[in-house]
Amino acid sequence: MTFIATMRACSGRAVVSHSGDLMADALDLSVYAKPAGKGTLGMELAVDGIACGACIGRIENAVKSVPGVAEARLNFTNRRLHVIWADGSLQPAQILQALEANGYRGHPFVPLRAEKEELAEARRLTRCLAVAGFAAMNIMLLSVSIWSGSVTDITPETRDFFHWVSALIALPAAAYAGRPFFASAWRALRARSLNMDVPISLGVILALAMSLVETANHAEHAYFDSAVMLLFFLLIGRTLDHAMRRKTRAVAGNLAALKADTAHRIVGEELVSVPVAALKAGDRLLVKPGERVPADGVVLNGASEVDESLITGETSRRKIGAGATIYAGSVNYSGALTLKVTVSNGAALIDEIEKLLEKAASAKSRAMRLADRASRIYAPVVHVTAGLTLVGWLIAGAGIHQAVVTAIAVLIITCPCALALAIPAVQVVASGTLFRTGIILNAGDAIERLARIDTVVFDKTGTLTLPEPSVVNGSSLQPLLLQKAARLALSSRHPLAVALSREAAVRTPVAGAMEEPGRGVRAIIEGVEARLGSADFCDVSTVSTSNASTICFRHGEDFGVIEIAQSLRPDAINVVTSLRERGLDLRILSGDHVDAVASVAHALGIRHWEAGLKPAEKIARIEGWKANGHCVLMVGDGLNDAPSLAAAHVSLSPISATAVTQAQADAVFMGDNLKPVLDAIVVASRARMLMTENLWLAALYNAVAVPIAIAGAVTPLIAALAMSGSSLLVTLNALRTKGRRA
Amino acid sequence: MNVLIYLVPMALGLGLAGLFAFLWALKERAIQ
Repeated sequence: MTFIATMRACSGRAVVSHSGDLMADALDLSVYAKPAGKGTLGMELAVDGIACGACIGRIENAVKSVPGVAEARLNFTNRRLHVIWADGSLQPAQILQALEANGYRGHPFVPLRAEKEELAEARRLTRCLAVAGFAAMNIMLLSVSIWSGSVTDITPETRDFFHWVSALIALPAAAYAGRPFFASAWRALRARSLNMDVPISLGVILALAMSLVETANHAEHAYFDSAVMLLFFLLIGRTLDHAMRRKTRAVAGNLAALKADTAHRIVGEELVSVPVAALKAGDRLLVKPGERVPADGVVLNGASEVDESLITGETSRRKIGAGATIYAGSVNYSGALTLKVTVSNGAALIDEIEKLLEKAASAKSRAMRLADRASRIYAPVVHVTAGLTLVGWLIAGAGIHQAVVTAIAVLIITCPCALALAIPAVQVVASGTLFRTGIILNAGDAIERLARIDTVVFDKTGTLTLPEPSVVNGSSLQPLLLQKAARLALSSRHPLAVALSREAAVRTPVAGAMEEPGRGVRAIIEGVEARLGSADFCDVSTVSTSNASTICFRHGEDFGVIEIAQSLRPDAINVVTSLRERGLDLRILSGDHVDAVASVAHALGIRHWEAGLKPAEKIARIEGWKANGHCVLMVGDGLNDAPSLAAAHVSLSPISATAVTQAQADAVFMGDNLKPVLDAIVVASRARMLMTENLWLAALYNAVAVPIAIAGAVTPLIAALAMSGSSLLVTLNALRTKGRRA
Repeated sequence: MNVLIYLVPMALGLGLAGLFAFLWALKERAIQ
């Protein structure tokens, strides 16, 4: 808290005059600066006050103009700014000052705080929405009375009374519910720039002020209803948009959870538990069975199997012995290992992936969203139109009062209700449709990006194939024998046995089953000994006919050799064919070995594939295609895929993927089928079409309504009808996204 | 006209009651 207090003092208006305080702030901030290699320091800042895509360039340029800053990248989705500067060239407080001078406020990023702020923002928007909704409904009731009274027998006193009651509701409600717009507009104006909230705020404030004056003068028309309804519609759009965006999860926290917290360091003859952060290259560690490996290293002695699926995406466990290299984050499966740490904390493979990930993620967010592009043109156009209306009427000889009233009417009628609803409405409906097909969106704008892709890149293991291996020769075995073997397999933790056990119809283990480590499991079934395990253990001679792993079973005289392998997702061939028919370029980038990838690529008819790739190589391939103008969809599940998911234009990942990978993917799909990938692409192209249609509808509305407003013919009734009508129209159009699937 | 003196505050009062109920529910995290 002390820190935050100092930050506020620093970022307050008196920064320059209190330059003496800067040293103290700089000292505090330096705690958050981390070495970023080659004599540079880096810092992550959460930035307040980002309203639209145009802010990205403004913020990055402002920070880059600080002498000494080497790089500034803003992630629009999570509002984080990554700054790198040459060590000693500047005080970190200067970066905050540069942001402040442009109307933004930066805080060193602390994950928990960012999440809290997001939640607080969501609640604030909902409260504003509720207040605006209440006010709009009540004022509309009064307005309808006035409008209907105008054509019948309302007395001027009753009309004035209703206007005053409307004012009583509208003024406090607008002051409360309009804050998100007013604050953002004020920040933009202070930085001498315009954003979409400036015309909105101006329209609302002017409409309320004018209505108050008109009411005091016993005039026939007041615009309280328009002003509050405007806020209500805009808040719906903004709340939907915020809710979509909030779903994107912070990656860093998840990655941290994957790392082991403590390690057993061998000091002389003793074993000491130490925090992972304290490990140094050269330390000797003991990793017990079932534990996560705390650091990259080389095995000194011991033999075991390790599960590296989180790191490499390779699901079959790797047998390792003395001399083998082992990575942090893998799980030690069967035996105790002594290892020597080769790289210190912060340089392990998992940290490397984390860094690649963050860099790729911030690069992606630079793609500007459709709504932002539209709003960028919007604000200046509205101001110029309203200004010209004012000047035009004055030149035409109208009085000041009439000219101002008409100009305000133009501002109100052009306020972007339809525009603000056009895209979030389609996104929400499309994400609902996708949800029903088993796809959960992580990023609100994923739909827009999905619609533009021309290349689909698949990872192999866990993406094209099912995440877990399964029995492949079940049909050639006696059903009864397979059932006995599967039931016996329930008593073993060996990966092949685990895969076999999924075939068991009866899910209770055989009583009295004994596991012999490294050999197999045995039990008495129907009075006869049954064995499941290696060929030796079961006294069976096997001849391997395929790439599949084998596990043997013997029950008295009966025996069988069960083959277990990765199998393709059930509909993979159909989906790949459909994707190809849509004209998409299909590719496989895998970390797995050549033979495994080749057989899958052959089965699916995918001609372009590469095997044995490291995360950085996958990114390089994707970046290469992007540089050639392709829009790439990456589908992957391993931790090693996370950076390439972030690097691609848009990414999908199966629900079986690691938490980090899921957090990085723009959408996650459920189930064993690959069809959601096709569904996502189909729904997204339709949604994008509807978004464009909606933007055109909004433009059309303006084309009709603006001339009427400029002509001075807009009464509050017309404004209310036009605004509700256009909002309703875009919402209904958005509903057409529903129910369309491949 | 006279009847409005009662009806308008009553209508607004009911509306406000609804609004406060919603805000209270939001505060108590009954609505996410």
